[in-house]
Amino acid sequence: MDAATQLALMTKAKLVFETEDTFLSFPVLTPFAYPPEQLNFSGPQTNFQVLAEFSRIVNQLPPGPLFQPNEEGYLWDMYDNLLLTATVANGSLTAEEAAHYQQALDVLYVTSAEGYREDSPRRRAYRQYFDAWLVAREAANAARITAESTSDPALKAQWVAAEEPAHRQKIADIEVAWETLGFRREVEEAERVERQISARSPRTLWNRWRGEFDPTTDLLTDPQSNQPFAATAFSPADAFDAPWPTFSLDASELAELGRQAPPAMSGLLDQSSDEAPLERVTFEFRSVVLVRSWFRKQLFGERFWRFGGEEQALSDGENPAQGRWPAYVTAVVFARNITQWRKPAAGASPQRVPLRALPQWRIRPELLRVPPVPTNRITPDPRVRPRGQMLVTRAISPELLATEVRAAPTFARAMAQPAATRIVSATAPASTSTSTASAATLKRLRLSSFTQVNTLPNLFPAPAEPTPPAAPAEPETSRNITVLAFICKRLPKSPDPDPSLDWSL
Amino acid sequence: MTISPGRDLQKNSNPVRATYEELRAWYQANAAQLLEQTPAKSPRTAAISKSLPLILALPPETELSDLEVRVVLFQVTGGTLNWSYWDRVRGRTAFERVATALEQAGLSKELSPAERREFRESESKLKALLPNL
Repeated sequence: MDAATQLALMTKAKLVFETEDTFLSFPVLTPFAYPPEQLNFSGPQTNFQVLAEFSRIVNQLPPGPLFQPNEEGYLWDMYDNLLLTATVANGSLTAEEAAHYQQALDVLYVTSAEGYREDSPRRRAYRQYFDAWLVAREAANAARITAESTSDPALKAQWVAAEEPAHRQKIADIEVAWETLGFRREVEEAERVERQISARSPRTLWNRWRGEFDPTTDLLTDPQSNQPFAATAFSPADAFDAPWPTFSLDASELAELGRQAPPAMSGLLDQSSDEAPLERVTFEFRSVVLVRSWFRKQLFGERFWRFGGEEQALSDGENPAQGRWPAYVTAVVFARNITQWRKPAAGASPQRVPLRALPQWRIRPELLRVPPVPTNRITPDPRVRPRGQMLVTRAISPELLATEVRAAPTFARAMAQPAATRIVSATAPASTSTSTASAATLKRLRLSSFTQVNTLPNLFPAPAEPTPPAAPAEPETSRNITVLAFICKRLPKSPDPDPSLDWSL
Repeated sequence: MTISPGRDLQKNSNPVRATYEELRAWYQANAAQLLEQTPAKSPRTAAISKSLPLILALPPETELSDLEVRVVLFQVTGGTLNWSYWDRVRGRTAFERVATALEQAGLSKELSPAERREFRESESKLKALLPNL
């Protein structure tokens, strides 16, 4: 894929998925691709190795728009240390506040048979409708950008006359259902009460968070690499079972988005290639939210804690942010059925080429990190995790970056051989958990996930457009799920202790 | 609640005091060993080190007032002994033991401003080990 197409793709993805407090990080060196069944973390046959890989990938510190393996450690390390070392303000609830607080908790949570706190059916429904609403908005955004970028007046007219009203109606329908079937007002009010009142009894909440992350059981060990990881899945857990919206870039849109690209992004790409630009690129996409049963993002925004010592702040809250951990991956944009059309020779039809995964990006080599290669593997202490034991990339040449897509069997080897797109073999045996602790942790992870709402009509029917015959491709091509981008959430200023609270201890 | 070491009633049958005594024994038997087992750069190491003077100085519960016992247990739920949150003491975590005992006694896991003030104004020997309370 040529640099101009990649630039347009990045630009459009940013326009569709980024919000005020998020940014996209693109896995440029080792595009991650999996057969869909291997990303099924909700069933009894969870592939433990893939879960470990996925968890390590999405819990790295995202360094910016280029997602590269790094040595900054993992979110679970930082979070665990924070829970252990932070100083928490004093405070307690009145009986009236405690009762009001309990009412809110009753709306939001139930306790599982195993004693874990999980989302109540109402909050689960809320999340389902929120997810449907979000995806509908993303689909509308993608279509709008196509219509606005195209030079074809007929397509512009079709957007105004038919597509935009249809998207608006779809979103409105979901919002109505969200209000009624998704308990939107009730859940958001309970969340507001929970936030407001819990801040008056900080230690109660802090101890609840501590109670939700037991490093001795929540940190599992990858059987392959012997590295610890905190299991992280995504919701909807059944995201692969439904039609996805289509992401399309045609020639005129490619050109227009290339012009709109911020200089900071175009400066990332290696423009030296003389590869011919593509005619068109299409794929289906789906954003999914990450599920971490051990982690409460609310902590970062609370003002009732501070560091016990002189530690560097996690984030100064600015954009771009400075700090020890200024952002984390909060969602993933998956892509599938990736197809590119090459410009035809004179008189011929465009050549349709299905891809197994998004090709590697052509990044200017001087921007790539070259972290040290670990010399040995660390056996994790069950209590203290080694920081940053990510297997790392080596120097990457433009020639390597241009290497065509091919299968690479495992994460560890792929990271050591960064030229290849990492595609986990569909035939790899599912290594399931063997310990009771692992089984319990996986069950808790499943309880934290939700599935797609099934009361909505088919939101994204497959486009009925004629497709030219494809060039020969491997039969599994369209099934693979690849990561288009990681959606990263910026931290607010954190810590940001409120001086009016009682800090004596 | 006054500071009157050795004079509070029903000390031995009090679940809060019984928990204090169990935890005191556990900390004094295990803290130094845990410190050795934990990697030097771990924040847990720093936390254990910081709490060692208090642990070594913890007297038997018979020498403490109810408030002093509460103050020490508060260190488990939210203070200098909180590093042991997940450590198991006779089958249950340190936090669970304290929380359950306080709940049984109808006491809060928090120290009220009045209790803090009373402790600060007392002549407790523990004050020197908990200078920030």
